[in-house]
Amino acid sequence: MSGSWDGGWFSSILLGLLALGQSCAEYVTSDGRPWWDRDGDTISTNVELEPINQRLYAFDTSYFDPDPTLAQGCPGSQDPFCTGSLYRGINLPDHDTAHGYYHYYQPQDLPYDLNTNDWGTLALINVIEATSRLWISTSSVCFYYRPLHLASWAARYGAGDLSRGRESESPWFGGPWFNNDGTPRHDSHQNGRDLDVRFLRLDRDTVPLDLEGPDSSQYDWYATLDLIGCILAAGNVESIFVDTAYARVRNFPGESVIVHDPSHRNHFHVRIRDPDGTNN
Amino acid sequence: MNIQRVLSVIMSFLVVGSSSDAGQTPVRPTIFAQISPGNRVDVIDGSTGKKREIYRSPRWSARRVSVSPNGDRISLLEFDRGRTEGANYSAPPQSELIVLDTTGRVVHRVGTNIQRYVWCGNACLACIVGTYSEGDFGFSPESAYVVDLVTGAVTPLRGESRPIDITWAAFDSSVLVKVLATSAGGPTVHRYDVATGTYSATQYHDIHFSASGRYYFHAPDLGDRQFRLFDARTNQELQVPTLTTIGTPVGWIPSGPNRLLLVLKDKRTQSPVPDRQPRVLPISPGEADMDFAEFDLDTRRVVRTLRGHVPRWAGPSGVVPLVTVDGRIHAITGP
Repeated sequence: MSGSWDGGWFSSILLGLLALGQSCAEYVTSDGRPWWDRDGDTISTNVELEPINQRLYAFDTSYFDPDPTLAQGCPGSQDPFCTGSLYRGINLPDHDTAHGYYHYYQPQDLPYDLNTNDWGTLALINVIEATSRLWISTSSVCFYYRPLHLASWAARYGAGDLSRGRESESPWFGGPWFNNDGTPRHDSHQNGRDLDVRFLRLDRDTVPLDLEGPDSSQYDWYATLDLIGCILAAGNVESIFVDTAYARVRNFPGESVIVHDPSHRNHFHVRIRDPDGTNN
Repeated sequence: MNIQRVLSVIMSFLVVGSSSDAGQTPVRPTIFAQISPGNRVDVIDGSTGKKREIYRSPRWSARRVSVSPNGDRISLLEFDRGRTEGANYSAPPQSELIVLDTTGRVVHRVGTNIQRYVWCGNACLACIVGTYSEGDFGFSPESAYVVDLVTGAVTPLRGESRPIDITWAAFDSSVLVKVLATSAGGPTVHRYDVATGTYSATQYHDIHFSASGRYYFHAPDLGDRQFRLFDARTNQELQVPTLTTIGTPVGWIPSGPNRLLLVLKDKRTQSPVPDRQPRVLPISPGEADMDFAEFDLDTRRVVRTLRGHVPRWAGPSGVVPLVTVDGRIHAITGP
């Protein structure tokens, strides 16, 4: 029972207080810049310090660095057959300093090789990180349903595939995604604008959840509703693809951001708007 | 009696659900099937709505139940739990397709790692093989084949390594396979003719055909968020402005020949959005009922409206029911 008093509640409150402190700290830096982006270039310090991003782009955490990424081609066109690519992708940090997300791989990635499935545009990385910060904060924008239903503090959310890494020293990332055995992995996820997110679990475990399976009893419906709201609040989201019947979610009247897709029952799919426009 | 005739009889009965007001004499009670909690397989009498448990899967998960065209066989996928290491699957869930008779006895074990399948006759199953994944399709497709349950003969759909969806086209007794197009102008739909065994590419863009086969639609997906309607004879997109103003299509109605089921647009007045208004809403059990309309493409008009919900039942030839608020069961087809 998610609303029961147990050890989880105590640690949740502690975590909440810590998060509150961190949240407040966002606004008290002496230079007026957020704690996660001390040089104010919209590339977080954590992203700039990620070793592979350092090696590729030599980000400087004290100076303004331009966004190196470019989303090209599909998705983002009316032509369902076109392909896309990600120019100079940014890697999602393996360690989230805000502790709001964890990163997971697919079984086809065995043996797990870091940085194979987590490349995106800066805009997408920023959505993931902003969601993480909002998620662990006490911000009301992310907690609409859970407080109404006395649910316990939310688990970290699982961020899965973004776009694939490059195969050589080429600046081109992403593109059509096939597994090592040649089988197709995704239809989209080509140009750094797509992200897979696991449904949240009542037991707060960081493992898969399939709404078609018996584990669906672990589905944390209210937390997932709030997480989707949180991702939308982080901004720049074009669509969320999910089996709405299984996830039991729908759009607010007049909205169309949530798109029913019956192939999304073990995760939902977030697509951001093309940050550099659709004409490239 | 050939398969097409059998289907037409079933479908003409299905469309009136529990009643016989269309003047048809039901050949036999139509059954639906569902997976209930506890991996229970229930069959549901289409005329009375009564449920009867016939099977309980001993494995981790049971899903994607289906009913053979004549209602004699129930099929489902059974999954064994995958293994996880940390946050990741080290071994994904493994599936097996099994076939039951209506008493719940396992009469066929068709194959493993099947992710999608469809009945292509009373003793014919067309299957997509792949590995479970948390990706765009829910699996990584590997191959497809057709199996004859009487002879055990397996016919691989050769040359196809990217099948992502499959359906039965009753109007011409063929299996339609949607494949992942990776190049502009590349094939999207292949057709397997059950009678001749030929497998060939088509020019179609999707596999969701009306009962007559004259029209098909493309449902919104990751590549294209728009619902699109096509004329199968010309393969040209149809513009039906009245359709989009009325509601959102969800499937074909088999009474046909060319009737779409629409979810009517929500006509409730949108209240002002307060500061903390969520942009996503829950679907509560009591809110499952919606307003539907049956839209006839030939006359371009709504022929009737219904209020009800679509339960998670499976029916013969992919037919799923719409249960109206008066408890009557009506038939629609997927997706």
